[in-house]
Amino acid sequence: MAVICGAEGSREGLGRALRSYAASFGAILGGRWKCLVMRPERNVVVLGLRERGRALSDIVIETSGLTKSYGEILALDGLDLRVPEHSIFGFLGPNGAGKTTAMKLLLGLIRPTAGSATVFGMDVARDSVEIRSRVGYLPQDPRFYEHMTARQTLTFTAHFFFKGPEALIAERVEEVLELVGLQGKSDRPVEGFSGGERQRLGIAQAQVNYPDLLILDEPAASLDPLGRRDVLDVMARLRKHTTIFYSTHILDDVQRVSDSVAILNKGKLITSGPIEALLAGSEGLTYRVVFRGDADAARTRVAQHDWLTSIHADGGADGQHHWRVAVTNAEAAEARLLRVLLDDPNVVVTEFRRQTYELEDIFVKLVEGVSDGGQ
Amino acid sequence: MAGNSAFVPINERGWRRGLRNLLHAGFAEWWRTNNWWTHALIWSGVLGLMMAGILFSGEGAAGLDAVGFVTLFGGMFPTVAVVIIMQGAIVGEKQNGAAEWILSKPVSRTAYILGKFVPNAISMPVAMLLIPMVVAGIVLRIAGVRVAPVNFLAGFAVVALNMLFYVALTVMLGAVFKRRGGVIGIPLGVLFGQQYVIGAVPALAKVLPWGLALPIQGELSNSVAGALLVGRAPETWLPVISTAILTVVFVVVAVWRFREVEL
Repeated sequence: MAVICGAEGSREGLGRALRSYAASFGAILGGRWKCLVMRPERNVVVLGLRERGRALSDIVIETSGLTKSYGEILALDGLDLRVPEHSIFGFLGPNGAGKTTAMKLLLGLIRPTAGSATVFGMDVARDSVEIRSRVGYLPQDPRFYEHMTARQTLTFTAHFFFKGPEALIAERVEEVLELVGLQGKSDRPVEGFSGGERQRLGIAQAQVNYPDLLILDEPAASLDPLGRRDVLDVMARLRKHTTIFYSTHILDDVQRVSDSVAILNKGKLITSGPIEALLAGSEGLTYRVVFRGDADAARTRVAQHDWLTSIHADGGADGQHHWRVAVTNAEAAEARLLRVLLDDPNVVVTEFRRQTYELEDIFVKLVEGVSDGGQ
Repeated sequence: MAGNSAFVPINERGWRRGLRNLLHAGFAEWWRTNNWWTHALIWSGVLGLMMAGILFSGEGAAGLDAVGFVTLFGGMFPTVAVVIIMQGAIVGEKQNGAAEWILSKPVSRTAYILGKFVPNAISMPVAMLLIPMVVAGIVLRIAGVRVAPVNFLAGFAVVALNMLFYVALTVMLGAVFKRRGGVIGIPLGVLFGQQYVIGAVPALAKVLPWGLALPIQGELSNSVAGALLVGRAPETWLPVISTAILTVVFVVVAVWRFREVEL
């Protein structure tokens, strides 16, 4: 892929005319856009424009108003999503939220009713086969050809991507069998596999082609706790090579490995973003302080600082003051807040920590909030 | 892709993408498992024993009259088995999720349909028809009935065309329907219902596949395949032409319809 930037100059040594072309496009579309992205291997000269501050190539999945309905049932309602490269992106939602529908749309297994989606900058409706050549997919209930052994299944899968050499393909098959712990069962027909073993085989076949994007629908389903831990470890290890877009109901796993999440309910996106931001809650950057002493004087001292946004006092039935202090600057707050409070020698601080939430609390709050009609 | 630079990538494009691998897997399912010899054994036993019963029992047919039974049994019984086997090939995979798995790989929808049709269209006639017909030929030979090799091959080709018709019909119905009922019911209805349709409209005998292997009227060797086996020119070639055209049409419709299927 070549990137030609009008204002910044060419990174790939392409001609002045193309740079000028890029600059003109940038001018037409406004300041956000300044670079042309080109994909010569697809014989397509202009694929798209790079957004200032974030290369188009940094976004692996992008959907815009992606909608899918089955008759009167709206399975997915105007999904707008951006999945950055090398992220582990958790796609959450209750049963029937539209997660599997979204994944199938990205793979071209079903067609959108409205909206559009791109994967690696390619349109999911038009370039589906090309997209799938760079993707590994684990279906929710993985099913394979029952008469094949695990090794034959993986070799068969690898041959959709590689012609050879056979020795390397066999080596790769061995590698992924080991990765998912199926070496001992590699020559058994799949028809005798348990649900957990099928899941492991599903994870192995999704990786056999060294995909640039892994789409995993409930990867930890049907696995015992050790299997779950192994899958999370594999996902964490693959991060530097691959972008992982996965759905799950196991929120602990999401909190452990994901860096971005999106929550879907009844086909609609409720929220999406970095997991730290979500765990910080809707109040923004907040610290929880519990102390004894003169609260009014302490409030006056803290209020003098410009990094303070608000102080919210809760309860205090235990004779202590419970504050949630919202700030604009974490560094300043961490350096100064405690000192300011302790200026008064009569103040005793018993708790001081950054306010975070469990993903489960946030998930339940958001999903129930939407279900009750609130946002 | 990361870490894959030492591999030779697949260079198939367009509708051929994934076809080679699917054909390889489809043929392997027949010839690298016990599928082929199981079917060859069953149908050789059925056809061979029936022929032996006909030829060696006191009241049976004799000489070339017995040859017509080869096409009668070959055109009827293995065809029922073909429909039963093929009904799961596409609908079964759509229902159990294997089709979703295959089509999540870089595979064209056309390649998927051809990957189902081609290996079965070649392997089924060989395992379920050619080998049993050879056994039947040996039984005929023992009974003193000689069928010239050219006549034998011509007769086989016509009965095989009859079988291909049902393979293609079942593939097409599998691409269209979501449930197995129609995929199994319609071909069996076509197979057994043709005689009644022909009874009501005799002109249809010249275009329906019934006349390929099964007698329209009179002697058993009046079918196209029966006539060829005994070294006679068939009354008409029209059933051969119309069945071949319908078989191609079914495959084209299967490919066209499957492009729209959502998994």
